[in-house]
Amino acid sequence: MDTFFRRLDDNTIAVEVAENLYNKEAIQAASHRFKDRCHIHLKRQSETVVAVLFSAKSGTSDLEALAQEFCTELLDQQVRMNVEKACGNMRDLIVKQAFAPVDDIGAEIRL
Amino acid sequence: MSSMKLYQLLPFRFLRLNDDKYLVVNEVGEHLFLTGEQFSDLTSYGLSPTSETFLDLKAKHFLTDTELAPVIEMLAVKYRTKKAFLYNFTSLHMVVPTLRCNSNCIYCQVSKKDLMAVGFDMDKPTARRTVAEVVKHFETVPLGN
Repeated sequence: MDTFFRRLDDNTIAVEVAENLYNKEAIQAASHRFKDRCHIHLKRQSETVVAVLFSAKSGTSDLEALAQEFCTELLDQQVRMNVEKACGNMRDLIVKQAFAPVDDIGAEIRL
Repeated sequence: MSSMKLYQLLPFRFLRLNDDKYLVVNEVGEHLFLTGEQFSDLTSYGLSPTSETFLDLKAKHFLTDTELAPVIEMLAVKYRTKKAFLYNFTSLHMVVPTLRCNSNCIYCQVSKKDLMAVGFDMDKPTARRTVAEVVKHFETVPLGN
């Protein structure tokens, strides 16, 4: 079975993330969520791949489980960005229309 | 809207509660709990327009399959109602008639001065105007707001 991570040494494993699948912002946001549970380091592996390195802190029990959890979190972060992109400027328009209505809101929608 | 999509997503935020439970919320305060599969279907435009999940999400403005402008108008009205408290003047008035104080409360917002310090008391005309403004406010705003 393919593994989604590489073990670099006893204390460190790396998850390689393809940037054509995930935005840099999603990778950073997902990484940030794990900063209190292990040491995280982002490293450019190649033009299209970013390696996320997980190093155990004292008390980190299972790095592989953390890496697995990271992959799920990464997917969530990317979906968040996809939803925001799909909604264009609608979030702003709802607030604008609530407090400073315009005559033709349809003309302002940008998807 | 793309011809490939049967519906348009409306702005929402989500939180994964566990591997198979998502909470979705939107700007007007609506929320729903979805299974992982329902959430994936929602975000990949795979929901059937006749499914119960689709109808729930549509009723709570997480998606729409109708013209966008009227939907945004309606969401704006709901948003304005939800944030109506912003139109009200503050209902809490704090008057600080002096900075001189013998206490040392950690939550105090003023820089206290020595009890014998001079020039740190509110003068009487200012104090009278302050009370008048507070009273005027409570005469114009119904109790409870």
